[in-house]
Amino acid sequence: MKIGGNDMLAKLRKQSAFFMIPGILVLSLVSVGCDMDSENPNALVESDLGDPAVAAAMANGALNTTSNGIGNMLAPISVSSDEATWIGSRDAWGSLDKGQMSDVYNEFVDGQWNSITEGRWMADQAIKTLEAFQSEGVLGSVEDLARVYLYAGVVRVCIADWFEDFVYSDKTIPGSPFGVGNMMGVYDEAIELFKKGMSTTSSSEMKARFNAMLARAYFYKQVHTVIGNGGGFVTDSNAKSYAEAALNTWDETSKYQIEYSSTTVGSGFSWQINGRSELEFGIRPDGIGDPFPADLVDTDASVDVVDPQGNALGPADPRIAAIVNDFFKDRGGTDYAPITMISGAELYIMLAEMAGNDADAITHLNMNRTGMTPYDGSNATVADAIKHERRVNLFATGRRMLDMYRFGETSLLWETQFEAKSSPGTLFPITIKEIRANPNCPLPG
Amino acid sequence: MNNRVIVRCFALLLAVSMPLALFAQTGTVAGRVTDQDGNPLVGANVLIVGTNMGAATGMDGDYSMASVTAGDYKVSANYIGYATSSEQVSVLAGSVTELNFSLRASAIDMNEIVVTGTGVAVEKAKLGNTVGTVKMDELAGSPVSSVDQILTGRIPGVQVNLNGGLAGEGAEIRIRGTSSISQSNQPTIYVDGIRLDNSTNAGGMNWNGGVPGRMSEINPDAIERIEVLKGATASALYGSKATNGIINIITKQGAIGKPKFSFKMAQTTGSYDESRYKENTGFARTDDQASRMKHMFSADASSKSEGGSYSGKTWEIMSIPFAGMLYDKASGNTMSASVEGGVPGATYFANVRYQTFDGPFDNNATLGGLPVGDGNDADNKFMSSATLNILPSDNLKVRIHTFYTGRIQSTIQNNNNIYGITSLIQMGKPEFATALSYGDAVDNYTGSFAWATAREVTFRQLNSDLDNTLVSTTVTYTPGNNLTLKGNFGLNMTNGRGESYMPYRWAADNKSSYYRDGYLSIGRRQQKELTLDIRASHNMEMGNLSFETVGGFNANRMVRKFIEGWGNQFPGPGLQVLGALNAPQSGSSFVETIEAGYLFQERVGVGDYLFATLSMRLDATSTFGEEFQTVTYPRVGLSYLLTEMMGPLGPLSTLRLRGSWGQSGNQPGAFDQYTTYAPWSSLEGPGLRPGNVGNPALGPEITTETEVGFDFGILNDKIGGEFAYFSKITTDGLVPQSFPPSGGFANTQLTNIGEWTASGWELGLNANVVRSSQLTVDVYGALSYLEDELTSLGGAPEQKVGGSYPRYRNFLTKGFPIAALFGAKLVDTEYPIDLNNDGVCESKSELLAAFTGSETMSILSGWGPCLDVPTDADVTAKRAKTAGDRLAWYIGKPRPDYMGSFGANITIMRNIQINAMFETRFGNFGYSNLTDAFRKANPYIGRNIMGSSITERDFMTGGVDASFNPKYDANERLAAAKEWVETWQSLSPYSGLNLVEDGDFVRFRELSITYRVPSETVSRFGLTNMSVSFAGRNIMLWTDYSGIDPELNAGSAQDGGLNMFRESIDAFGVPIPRTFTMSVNFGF
Repeated sequence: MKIGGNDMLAKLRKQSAFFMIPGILVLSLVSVGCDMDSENPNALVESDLGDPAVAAAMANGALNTTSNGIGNMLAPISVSSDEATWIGSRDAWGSLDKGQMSDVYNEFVDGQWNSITEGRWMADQAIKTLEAFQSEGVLGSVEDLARVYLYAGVVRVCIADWFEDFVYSDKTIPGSPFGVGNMMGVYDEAIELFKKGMSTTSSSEMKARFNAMLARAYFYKQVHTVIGNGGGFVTDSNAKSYAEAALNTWDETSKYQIEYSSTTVGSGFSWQINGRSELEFGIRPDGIGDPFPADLVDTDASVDVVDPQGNALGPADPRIAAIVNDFFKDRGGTDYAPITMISGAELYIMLAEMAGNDADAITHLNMNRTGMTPYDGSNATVADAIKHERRVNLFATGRRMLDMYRFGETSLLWETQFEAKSSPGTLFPITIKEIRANPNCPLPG
Repeated sequence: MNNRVIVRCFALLLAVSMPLALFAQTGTVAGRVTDQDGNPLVGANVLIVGTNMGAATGMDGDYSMASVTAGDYKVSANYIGYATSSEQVSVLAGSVTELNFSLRASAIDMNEIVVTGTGVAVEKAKLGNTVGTVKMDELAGSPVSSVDQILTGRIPGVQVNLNGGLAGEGAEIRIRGTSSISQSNQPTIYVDGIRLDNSTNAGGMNWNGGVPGRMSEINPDAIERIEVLKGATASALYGSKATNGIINIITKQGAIGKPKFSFKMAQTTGSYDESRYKENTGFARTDDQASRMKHMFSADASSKSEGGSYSGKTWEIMSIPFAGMLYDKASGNTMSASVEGGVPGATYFANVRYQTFDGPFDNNATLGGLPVGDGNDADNKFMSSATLNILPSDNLKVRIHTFYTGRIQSTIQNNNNIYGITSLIQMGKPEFATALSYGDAVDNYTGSFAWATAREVTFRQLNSDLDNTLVSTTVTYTPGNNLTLKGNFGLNMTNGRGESYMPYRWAADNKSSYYRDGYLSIGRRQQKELTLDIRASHNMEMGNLSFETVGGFNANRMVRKFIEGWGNQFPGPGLQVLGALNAPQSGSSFVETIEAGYLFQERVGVGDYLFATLSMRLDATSTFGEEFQTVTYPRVGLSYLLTEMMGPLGPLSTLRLRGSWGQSGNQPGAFDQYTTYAPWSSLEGPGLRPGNVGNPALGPEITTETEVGFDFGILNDKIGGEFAYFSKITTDGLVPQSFPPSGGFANTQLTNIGEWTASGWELGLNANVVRSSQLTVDVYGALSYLEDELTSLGGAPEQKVGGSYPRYRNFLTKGFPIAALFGAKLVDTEYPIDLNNDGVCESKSELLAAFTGSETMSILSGWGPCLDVPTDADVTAKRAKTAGDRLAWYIGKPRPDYMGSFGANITIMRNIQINAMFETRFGNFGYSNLTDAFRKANPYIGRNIMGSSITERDFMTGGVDASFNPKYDANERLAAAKEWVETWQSLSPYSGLNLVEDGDFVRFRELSITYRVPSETVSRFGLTNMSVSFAGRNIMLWTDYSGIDPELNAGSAQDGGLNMFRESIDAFGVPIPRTFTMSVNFGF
């Protein structure tokens, strides 16, 4: 049969369709059916951590996660004390203002629990990884390991300072709570880590940081003992010797700070004050009709503490204002104020507290009063001077709550039915997120 | 685009198609469609089955189809409310074949053809499962402009949850309740079998405003009908992304005939029901404060006092409607033009639509005499759609379809957001109002205590620029011997550019210090969905038996890329680009999923009355873990048409029994299987943090569903309906398992350990109440019932929606409805007040002693609600979830037991059509009124509604006399404290107390009145049809719910994750606006 013209065209159309559909089928099987893998370029996977190249990244991760946890936890501990006050919408801050420390549901303690625990785990994981690299001889820089010891120790000191109880788990394996009476062991762990770091680093600045943090760890371990014994001042020979060792390198202006920035980690505390404006420094007695306390200067800042020694600059001690100004200083945003972990100023105040005599104590205290009227024992007792120096020099570092407990001070906003007032010394509990996920952590009460 | 351009475009399409028509020998089929009384039916569809030829009847019921290739055909006629009728005809070349239809009024139509999830096109009567359908020609004149509006109230079991009332806000759809507790519950959406991006957050960024959804980017004027598969019994062939149900949108194709042009012009106006907003109240505590308030508000006519006009006294409560100052009328325009037609060998349809809507937020408003900023509430869309069908030969058909939607949406900040305009305005307390004119440092007319003034946040902008494109090709080849081969290939690509902008020095009132020098974030989200579907089908008959066999292959690939830049500090005003920021930052992410599966189906029929279907799909996806390979989803269905076999059964003119059983799956997220460490830049260099714990055994969750039901017709099908009972269980459920955060990995990890169930029933009824030449009345109603339970979390801990945020009280807890609400409850005693937080309520005498004093006292200062603590017996009785946990009382569930709709379609004098639809939800419907929880209880941003203010004032003062002097009466204080804890106290640490209300409602959802201009009139203008419609949407709301609107959902759009259960939460959203539209439609 002759084929041509329209018949040919029709046949070609039929043939092309006949081949086209099975062709697509084959193509689909080849192109899709045989390759069901999808690469994930967003994150590293577990096996990548065996590569020594990640050592620095693990250490940096420990830095970030511990900084994040500490920056977040500083907000609830500060609001619980008289250093910051709730002025926004989220009333769980108000509960902390009132001194309700033991509420496992408090959204801000519970919310920050994840970050402080992440910091602890990540720092320990980094130690494990870097120590393994070191033992295999493939660790590129021991300074990375030294700073991981520092981060792991620092986060433990903060945990011990702020929590009534704590727990370490490992990925999916739940740990058991330490128990309220065993939290001093966390300081002991920190001390061990700082000592390891000291022996690992060859940097004089790092050694000074380790010495300073050892002083802080020993000192605050004693603070808890003092609170348990009715309050008062601390004496601890280890704290004293490490403080003196640190001050061999540092002076009163030296600081070890956790830094925050817009491109790395933001501070939760800074965000709540600077960014969200949920909190403000100081307390707000005027909002509820209470009288203004005598130790504060009634200004808009409401954080101006009266200098008991008096000085030419006016009744308010200017050092809190300086800290506040630094806190608000523009750093490319509003959420990135640094947090001081330990400073030469704090070490001098520690030494004053542990001096054993007024003259030495005053000498140490006056190291921090450059440009101000020095203490001479005339206007303020040494005890009051130490309390005041701690209050103004350690402002916004998370130390105030324990000082209020041990010095018998209360916040104007604390209410008698809540723990800060009814049971001084009470710190934050293991929170509901952990309780729900960890079978070893029962709901209290 | 003007009409000339449109005409040219279609002239080009015709030019391409015409040569194919030159070979044919043709005739004409023409006739009239009437009812059984001989009355013409206007707008009835007449189709030549198996071809692209069709026509609609005119005002006299006449139709005509020319250029029909000579041959034998089956011609069908269908019309709303009438049974489809089919006739065989022989068309002769060069002659006119007359074919008239007399349609029987019928409230059911089981001959309706459906294509979704059925393997091949098939009559509904042959299916064991239900397929919900909405035909667009039944919605003529209805006020619908998006797919979610089309579906609202029209298919039993399909729940459309609006995110809010701002312009362009999307909606989430839930079919037969919750399918997954971790993955998106949004149905998978197809257009003509090609999968679409179904995300409810089109911009890919959480805007804290009106989040646009992708469903509203599908051109409603291009839709012919929508088919909905409700569950596993229907959707098994869709494999591992089918559990949520399937929505398949079938677009118009055009029919052979002369070009028909249709035009639509509509004008819309709308408004919020401002009466839903409670006025802002407050009172002065001091004389200075009273003096300021008098200065601020005594001249404002809208302010008033509890005793009349506000006199500005201390302790005198005033009120003022701040919210109403920001809203005005909404306005919108729609213009749409379509053309369709065809010749033998090719048909076409094309449409362009331009739609604008400027929401009720008034960006010309003033607050305290000062103008608001440039933030706005608007949604403008350009939509185009085109379909070309080419039939190169009798057995080959090539269909090319494309659509494009371009969209610009702007929204104000709102919802649960401290920078929300609607939130700050409602949080305003008159006693905190300040003014420069009074010597204050800040103009703060609405008394925002924290963050920013309400006026300042109006300067913030949220803008989206969205594109949605689909290109698809379908090739159908019928080589003969009852064999059909079909290939469907398509690409849907969506682009979203989202922008959050705070102008330089945006804080115009000098209150907010947040990013004063400006902030800009720009995100771009691109998603590509590639679909390939190839299947072969074969039909065979052996005596009384018929066999239909389908086999095929289906694959989908999805790639989503997201890139974002952000930063703050512009050097000066007017800048709005990332490069102008001080140290802008950036981020990006990539997601890819690949799915592929083989499918097989066999349908066996016995005569015209019994049909059995067996289907199966073998599936694999890239999201399964290394230890998981493939999964098989089976389905069986049975349909038995009793009356087809036995004839009418008494009053039952039609009765069909049906049943089906099937499975479908839901796949995990793209990379959930891996143990990951996420990058995190540090000051020392790149760093890492824990990501996912990982799970190499990860597989799909499997939903198994059983459905039984029946369709019936009574009185010669004048009353008809369908009923379905379903029961489903999800096993291997993907649980977002929490591990102890102290283990370092705070993120939840998906694990196949969960199980949840749902069951319910769906009833749809239609009735032809009146049928006469001058009046037809059809009424309809639908009602569905749903209950669900989370039966197992596989030992994983419960999950709380919102994490540590205590105000969202939804939990995923074993033994309770999904996302059940838990919270605090007062002790059942006369004075549930606790003075020392020991959990014991104090006696009246103790309370009076505590409240005695001639000074002011503060709310909750030294006292609080006395909360009940659940016991083991309460847990056993499911009154609570945990013994000893004071926040563990079961206080409701966020989904109603019942959903329903009802309405009527009325035609008067053949040219006036009235459609009305009401929608209702009721029964154990717990709605979280978080807006009022704040406004009742919060000391800084609340206690600003009348009852709360009065109670607070009376407790503080012990009551006031007629001159507002405090009485310091302990008894009045006690009464106020009692009212406070029983009515006003909410929020943490008493979370859940006085929060949940009954959300039952009835809404007058739609009304449309359409007048068809008589044909003799329109023909004078050279037109073939013309109609004028008036339509209203969301016209009235009846509810006991006291908040803004019982249809708000605080979380806005969430495509998976726990936050998608932030449903039925009213948190500073805006009401669903009522809109009215006048439109004119005409064609030639």
